[in-house]
Amino acid sequence: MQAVARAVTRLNLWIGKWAALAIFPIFILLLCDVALRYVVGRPAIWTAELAVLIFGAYAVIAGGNLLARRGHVNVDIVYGTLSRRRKALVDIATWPLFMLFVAVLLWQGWEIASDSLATLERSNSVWKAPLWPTKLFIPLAAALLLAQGVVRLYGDIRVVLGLPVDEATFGRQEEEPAVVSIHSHETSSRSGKEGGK
Amino acid sequence: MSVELLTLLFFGSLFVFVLLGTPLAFVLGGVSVVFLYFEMGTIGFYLLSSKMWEAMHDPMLMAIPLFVYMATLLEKSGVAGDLYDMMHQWWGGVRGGLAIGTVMICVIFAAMSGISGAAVVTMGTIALPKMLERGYDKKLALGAINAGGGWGILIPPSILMVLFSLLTEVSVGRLFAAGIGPGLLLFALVSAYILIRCFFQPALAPALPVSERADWGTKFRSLKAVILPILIVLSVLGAIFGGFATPTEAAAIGVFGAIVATAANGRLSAGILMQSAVSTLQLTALIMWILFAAHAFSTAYTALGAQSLIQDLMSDLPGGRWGALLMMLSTLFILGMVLDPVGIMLITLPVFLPIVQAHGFDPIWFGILFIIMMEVGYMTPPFGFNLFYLRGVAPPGVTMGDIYGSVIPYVLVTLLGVALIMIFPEIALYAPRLFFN
Repeated sequence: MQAVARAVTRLNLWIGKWAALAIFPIFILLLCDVALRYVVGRPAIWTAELAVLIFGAYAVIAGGNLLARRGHVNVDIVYGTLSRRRKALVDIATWPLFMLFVAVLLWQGWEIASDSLATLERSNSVWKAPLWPTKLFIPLAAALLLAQGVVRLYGDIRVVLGLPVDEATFGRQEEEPAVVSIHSHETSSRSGKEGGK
Repeated sequence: MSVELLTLLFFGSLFVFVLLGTPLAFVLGGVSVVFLYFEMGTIGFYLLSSKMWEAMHDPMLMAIPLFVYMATLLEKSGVAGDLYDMMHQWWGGVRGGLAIGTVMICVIFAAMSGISGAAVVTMGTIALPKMLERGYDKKLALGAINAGGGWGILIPPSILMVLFSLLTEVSVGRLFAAGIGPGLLLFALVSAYILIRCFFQPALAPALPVSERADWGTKFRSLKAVILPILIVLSVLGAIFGGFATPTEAAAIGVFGAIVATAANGRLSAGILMQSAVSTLQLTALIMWILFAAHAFSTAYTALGAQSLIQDLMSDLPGGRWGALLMMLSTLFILGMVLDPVGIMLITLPVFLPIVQAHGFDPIWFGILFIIMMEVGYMTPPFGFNLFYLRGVAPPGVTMGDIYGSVIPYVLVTLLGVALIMIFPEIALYAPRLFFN
C-alpha cells in the first residue's frame, strides 16, 4: 500500500519538474510565428496551432502535482485554526466532493478522448492537426489527480488513526504557499522533505 | 424548483465547502457535478470535459503561462527588484510611499501584460516581504497589490478586453485605448487613498528614517532601472498596436523581452530559465484548474436558468437608464464574487447588450465599466483570481484571511473610480477618439 502511495506521489512530483519545460516550445513556436510572418513573409501553417496543442497538455497535467504539494488554493479562515487531526477529519468528510468532480472528469474525459482516438480526430485548419494526443491528456490528468487524491485520503486516515505520515509518501502535509521555489532560489521542487515538523 | 431557490442552494453550498477548507477548484467542480446531475441527469456531465477541452485549446488562455513566465523571469533576473529599489529610493521618505511605489510598478506591469496575475505574482514576491519588513500593515500592503494587479486587464494589452470585443463586436483597438485613462485614474485614486490613510495613521506604513533615505545622486542613478521594463512595454504594446501580433503572440514577445532583460542584467543561465519555468507551471496549474472548474460552474449555472433570472431582474427597472446601468453593475459585482470573468461575460452580455443599445449607452464606455467590475471581481472574496495568485506567492505567515480582509477599502476606492467614469465618460472616451479619429 505504502509503496503504491509513494510511487504515485513521486510520479506526480516528477511530472511537475519535466512538464515545466513545455513553456519553451510554446514560447518559441509563437515567436517563430510572428517572425515567419513579418521577417520571412511566409507564415507557417502549423506553428500557432502546435503551440496551442502543447499548451492544452501543459495546462492540465500538473493537477496531481499541485495536490501532492498542497498547492490547490483553499480558504483557511476556519480550516487554518484546526488541529492537524481535525483538518484530516474535515478533509475526509469533504473528500466525496473532490472524488465526484475528478471521477466524472476522468469518465467524461475518457469518453471524448477515446472518441477522438478512434477516429484519429484532426482539426479543421489547413494543417489538419491531430487533436487526439492533447485530448488524451484530459483523462490522463484526471487519473493522476484522482490517484493523488486517494493517496491524500489514505494519509488523512492515517493521521486520524495517529499513525505516522511521511511526506515522501503522502505529499506535503503542512499548509504552505503554493509556489515554494519562488522564495528559495537555490532549492527547486525538492523542498517536499522539510515541510513537516 | 424555481431558479431563485436553486441559485440560493447553488451558491450556499459553495460557501459551506469553501469555509470547510476544500480547495476552490474541487468545490466549484464538485458542486457543478451535483447540480448538473439534478438538472439534466448524467447526460449533463459531458459539459465538464467539453468545457475543459474548450479552455485547453483557447489561444487566448495560452497567454496566461507566457505572461506569468515573463513576470517570474523579471523577478528572478533582478529587473523587477531594481525597479522596486528605485521606487524605494524615491518614495521611501513618504508615509505609505513603498505601497505607492508598488502600485506604480503595477501600472508598468499592466502595460506589458494582459492578465492581472503578472503584477500580483511579481509584487507579491518582491514588494510584499520588503513592505512587511519595513513595518507596513499587512492589509494595506496586500490590498495595494491586489488592487494594482487588477489593472493588468484594464490597461492595454488585456486578454479580457479581447474576449469582450469578440462577444460584442466593438473595436478592440478602441477598447484598449479607452482603458488608458481609467487605468491612470484608478492609479491616482489608490495612491491618494494610501497617502491620506497613512498621513492620518502613520503606524500603518512608516516613512524610512532620515538616515536611510537616498540622496539625489542615488535617486537619479536608480532611474536606469526603468529602462528595461519600458523597453518591454514598448515592444509588447508596439507589436499589438502596430498590428504585428495578437495579444497572445505579444505575450511571447514579452517573454523574449524578459529573457533579453535577464541577459542585460547578467543573470541569464539555464538555472534561472528552469526555476522560472517550474514556478510558472505551478502558478498556471493553480489558475487553470480553478478556471476549468469555474467554467463548469458557470455552465451549470446557465443550465439552471441563470439567464432568465438575470433577464427577470432587468425587466421593469425603476430609474430609467441610470437605474438600468446601476442594476447591471450591481449584478456584475455580485457575480464577480463567485464566478470567473469569462463565465460572467458569457452569462450576462447576451442580456445586457440589448439594454445598453436600448438606452443609447456608448458600448466602449460600457465595456470599460464592465472590465473594471471584472477587476473588482478579481479581488472580491471568495473567488477572485488575484487573491489566488497572491496566496500562491505570499510568504508564510500571510493567511487567506489576511488577503480577504485587505481588499475592502480598495474595492470601495475602485468603485469610486467607476462612479467618476460614469459621471465623466470622457475619462475613458478621450483616448480612443484621439487615436482613431
